[in-house]
Amino acid sequence: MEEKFSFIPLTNLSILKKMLEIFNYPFLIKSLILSFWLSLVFSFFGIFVLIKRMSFFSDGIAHASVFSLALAFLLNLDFFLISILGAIIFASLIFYLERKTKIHTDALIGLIFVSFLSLGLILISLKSGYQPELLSFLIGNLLTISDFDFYLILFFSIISIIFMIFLFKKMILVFLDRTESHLRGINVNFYEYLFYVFLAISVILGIKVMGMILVTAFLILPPMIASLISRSFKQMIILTLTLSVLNVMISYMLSFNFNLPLNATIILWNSIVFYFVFLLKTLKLIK
Amino acid sequence: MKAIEVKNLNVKFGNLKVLDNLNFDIEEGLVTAIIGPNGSGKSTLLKAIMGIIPYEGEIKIFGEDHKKNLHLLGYVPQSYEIDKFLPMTVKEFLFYSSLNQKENYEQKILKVLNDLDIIHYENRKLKDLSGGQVQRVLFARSLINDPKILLLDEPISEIDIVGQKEFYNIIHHLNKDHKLTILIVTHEVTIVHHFAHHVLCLNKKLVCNGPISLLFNEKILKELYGREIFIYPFNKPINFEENA
Repeated sequence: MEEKFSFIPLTNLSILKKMLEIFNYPFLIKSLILSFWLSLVFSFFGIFVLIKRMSFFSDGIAHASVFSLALAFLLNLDFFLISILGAIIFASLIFYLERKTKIHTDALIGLIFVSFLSLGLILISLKSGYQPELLSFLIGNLLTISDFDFYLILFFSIISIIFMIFLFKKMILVFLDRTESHLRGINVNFYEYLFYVFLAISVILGIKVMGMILVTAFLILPPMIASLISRSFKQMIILTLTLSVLNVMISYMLSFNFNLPLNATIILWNSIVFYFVFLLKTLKLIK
Repeated sequence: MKAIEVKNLNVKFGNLKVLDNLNFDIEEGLVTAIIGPNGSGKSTLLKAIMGIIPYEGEIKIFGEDHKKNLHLLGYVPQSYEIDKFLPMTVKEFLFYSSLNQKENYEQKILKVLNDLDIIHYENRKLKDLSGGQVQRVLFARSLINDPKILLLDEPISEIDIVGQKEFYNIIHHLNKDHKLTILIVTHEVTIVHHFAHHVLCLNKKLVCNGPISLLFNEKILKELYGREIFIYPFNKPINFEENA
């Protein structure tokens, strides 16, 4: 007897129905908007991060922020505001040391990372008891975002993206060649500092909702994938932004369909796409 | 008119004096070679003229403080390392440097690429080009903002002899047809007289400043390099027996 196989599409009606249920929960809509928007924001920043070779930046800032967290605990201050202030200080310190010591940016990020993390841990040890905020800060949680945080993140990220788009051409020249930028009348130090501060604050805001690992993934993976298959820089920018949104969409579907943790699914899916594109490129199946 | 005027220029890195009280002028329209041993301050001099290092003294470009006229400078570095992951095309690379452009930048880019005979590089990725080809693109970039003075920091040090000859032709073309004043840092003391009119000999202090024929003065070269050096004009065959 002939056996019949039936093909079950991934996006069948039941999954679609399940996904549409999101709209019954306002907190899920917020998380959806933020994850799409922040994936765009961070992958856009990521293009600069890759050129400047500072993909370690978000890790460094995140870990150094344990110090801000400890300080906020000890002094009973609002953690979010203290961590933003901390991010500006860390970015300024990296910027200052870079110019004074001529040591590479990645090594200085490492210095800020370990010194402020250890200081933060010592400060935390001074206060007894379990601090759940510490863990949730590093991992993030898209589903527990408050209205205030939601609008603050949206507001700041829109401002920083407008600035970056407005200054895009000059920023790229600064990152490509400092001497040439100087001759073209650009204040190189000002632009670099502005970028560090914008990135540091965005990373802190992003970590609050997405966690450190997802922020790093958004920063480096979409531009990395795009760089493998792009024939021009313009194409790389378009592909980076398209891939970041597309990958979040697919990850949401996979996460809903197979009941997987969302953050990890987004990161894993982006990584799989990278390895897949790399394989195609190595086998010369794509140019 | 004087393109560059340098008065009492001193540069120190910590306690180390790199340039010691330099005074000289560069006339508009000349190709000037800056020669000297390693560590003599040649590249430092270019950096001071571009205003990217601290210095004491006075530097003027076309009669005004150099910081007001930096836009009149074009610069070609010794080498340029593009990130191997970045798929930036030559046209895009030139686009990001074409700031302050009143005319259509696309037309300008094509014009410069045509002028240097590298229009076929237009859509090639920068990372796929050889050292010599990248150097030509850097020449194109230095011209994109209509400079009046070109500063070249050993632009041919990584290029083979055929490529070097092409570069001398480019320098000649830019000086003659574009009326550019050119300052070139070079170690090519044996052939520099083929493309330069003027020479500045530098060993922290100014050892010589004058027409290129000064390079055939053995006394000056000995003072500059600390040992005897013989330079033959290109068209005169070297007599090895005479040298032995």
